Amino acid sequence: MRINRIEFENFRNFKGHNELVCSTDGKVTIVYGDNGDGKTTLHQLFQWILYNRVHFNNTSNNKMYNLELEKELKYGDKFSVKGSMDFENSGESYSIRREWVYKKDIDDSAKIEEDISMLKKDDDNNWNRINNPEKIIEELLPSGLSEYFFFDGESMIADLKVKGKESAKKLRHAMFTILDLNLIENAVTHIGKTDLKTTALGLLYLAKSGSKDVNNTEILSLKGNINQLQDRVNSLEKDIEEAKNEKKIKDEFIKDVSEHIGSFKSKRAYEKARKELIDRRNLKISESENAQVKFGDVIIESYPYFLMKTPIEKAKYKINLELDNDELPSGLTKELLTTILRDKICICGNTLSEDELKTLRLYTEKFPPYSYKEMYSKLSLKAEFWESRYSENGLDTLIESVINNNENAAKCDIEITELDNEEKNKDSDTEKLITDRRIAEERLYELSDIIDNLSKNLGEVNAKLKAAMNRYDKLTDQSDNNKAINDKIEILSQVKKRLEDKLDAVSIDYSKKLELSIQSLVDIMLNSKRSVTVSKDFTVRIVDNHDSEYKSEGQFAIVSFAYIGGIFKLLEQEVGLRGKEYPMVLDGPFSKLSSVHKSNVINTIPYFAPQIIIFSKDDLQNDFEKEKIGHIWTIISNEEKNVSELKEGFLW
Amino acid sequence: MVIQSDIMLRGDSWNLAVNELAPIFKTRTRYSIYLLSTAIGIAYDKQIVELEKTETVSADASNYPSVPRTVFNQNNVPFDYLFKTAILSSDCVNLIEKERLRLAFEDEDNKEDLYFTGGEEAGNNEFNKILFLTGFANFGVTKLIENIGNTNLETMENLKEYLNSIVEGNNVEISDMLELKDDDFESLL
Repeated sequence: MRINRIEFENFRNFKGHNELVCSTDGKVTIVYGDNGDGKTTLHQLFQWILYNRVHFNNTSNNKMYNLELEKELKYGDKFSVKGSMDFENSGESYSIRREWVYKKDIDDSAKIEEDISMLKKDDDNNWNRINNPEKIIEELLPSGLSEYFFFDGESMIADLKVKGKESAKKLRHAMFTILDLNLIENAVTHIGKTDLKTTALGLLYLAKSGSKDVNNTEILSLKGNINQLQDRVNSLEKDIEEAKNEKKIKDEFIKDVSEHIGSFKSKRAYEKARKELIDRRNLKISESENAQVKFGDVIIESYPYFLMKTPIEKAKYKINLELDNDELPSGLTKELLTTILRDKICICGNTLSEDELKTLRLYTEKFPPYSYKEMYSKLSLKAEFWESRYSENGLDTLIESVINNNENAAKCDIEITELDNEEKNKDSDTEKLITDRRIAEERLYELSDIIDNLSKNLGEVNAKLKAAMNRYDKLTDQSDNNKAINDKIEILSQVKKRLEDKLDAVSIDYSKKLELSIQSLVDIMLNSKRSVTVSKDFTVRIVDNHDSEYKSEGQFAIVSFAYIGGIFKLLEQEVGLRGKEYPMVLDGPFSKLSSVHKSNVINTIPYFAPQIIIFSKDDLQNDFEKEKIGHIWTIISNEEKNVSELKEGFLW
Repeated sequence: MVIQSDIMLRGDSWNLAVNELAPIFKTRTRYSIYLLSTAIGIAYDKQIVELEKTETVSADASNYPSVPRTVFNQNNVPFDYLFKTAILSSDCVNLIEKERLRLAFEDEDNKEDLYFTGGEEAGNNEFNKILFLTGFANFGVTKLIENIGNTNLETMENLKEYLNSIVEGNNVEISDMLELKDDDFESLL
């Protein structure tokens, strides 16, 4: 697929009609734009037209239409946001067009209509409307891989830095989709497991019955229980997942807002003071948790001994008789007595007489197994030792520490709110952002508690589910009626295992290929030696000779280019995909690169894909060889950055 | 005391205790809760031999928490002390004085065969120390969970008050039990 032209109207800060013509002859198309001019907006336009999907930075407004245009209209007026893309694929021409119609209202303009259409040119050069455009787009440019075709370098760096596992999961899913392995994955999910009633194995499992001599009422009741508990597990897992997702979104939002506010010179002191308060608050919370754990440790170290005080006193009465009768010379131990009796020599060196030995032999009876006075005394002494330590147990101090730290954390919260309020009064531009950030932070704290409680609850429900299933197994396993069902379960489990093994083998194969691709690009683009490993779950790890993953911003940028390039190379090599072409629309983090790295990257990029469209805030005119540059465009914006237009040429 | 298999903590009270008290007993959670529960049970001198039979969900052992034998064996010193105290003091077992003393103080390699009337898992000629202790722990955990509050801080305060009341002899339940035993004793005279 190669994109010929994009036309759009009133999309975000682009007021009126604009057009972007792209090179399809292997040359690079470059769109220049300064910060805030609308590079990311244009980058998102591609995905809006193709997939009806946009992901804007949280700090921007989320309106799809141009706000200036909306201002000029009267209430009740209708207006449209439009986008169309003309492209070629395997020698055929297509045009896809998307439109959202709005009506201006008092509060906000409401979307009242949306439309998508797709045309294909026939052999006589006539454009014909075709059905199901979404399906065709999915075949040509799978949405699962859209993040890689429409590559946002900044987001990719953030992903690689903090969301390794998640990026891996996303990539694995995308790779499976494009290689049709998702069918196998879906089959595995469909077969499922016996403790999930919505799957084949789950349904079979619950179809079992009891034999004649088994209590079938109990089996029926257990089935009901298992059903309910599985529902509860599903619902809890869903709630946990949702809470975790919300937490992640809030976290990113807070980070974005903080970066955004921090970028204003006038806000730096406020952000610094605020950050200190947040850090102090988190420290207090952590100290409170530490005191809580210390409290537990103190109890476990000492209270089992303290609690033995009364039972040991009680024991004295129980073994009263023997203890009172026992009288042993102080310092005489069983070992000493045994030695003396064996050698018949006193500790002073004199040989013992028969009478003396006879007296000593009587003492033997006072030692175990005949008497235990010494041992009980030791036990009592230990109890006395622990009793003497009781007053210094320090539990009160630890409870106070928890209370004080919690109070101090709460004070920090109040100070943060006060600081925010003060700042909001100074400047109306950031007022909403400051309010929203605080709300997000409070929600974040709530979400942590919610996730903890839900997880705890899930643990309990899972234990009950397993218990009910074990009981059900015991009752149903005795019945011959279930032989056929058990056989089916066994067969399906084997099928599942085989499919999983296949997926596993494929994952290993592709991850190794990806590893090689990324390694070769890292070797070319990065001057220092790094070794790349891609595990079978597609987690990418890039380390230096000391096995350290540390990377500077610039190195992260290089890695993100290598990562995306590696994916394209892998797609190109895949036999089933040969002949298919994927464009690469790149919002690249060139400014993070040193001149040497930039030159390495620029020399390599044209080989990533048959069509490259680059968005840049840096002048790349002298970096690319002239013959490699195709169409060039520049985004021109007004001072407020709310009205932009796209003009052909390098206009800086 | 060295054990060969993990200690299964059967019964919903154990699940509740482990889930709710984990933020406080973060270090070796299940071991810690088992140890404290055992001590509480010994202080009350009360056992529940099979906790799961007294609770709502009957279950297979694998679904309940357990104390891994490795953790236990590496930290078994307090249990020796607890066992000695319990075997010498408890009315839960019917043993003569000499048998109690031998069980408490006999070296492991010098033990003599003893008959123990309680506990199905113990052989006729072997006293099962862990079963004996777990009986106390099963009772202790039911008391421990009574102290779970709405917040961790509330639980900490409840635990402190509760445990101190036992140590200081102010625990009403234990005092009532002791009084009852005195009455029983008098009635026998």
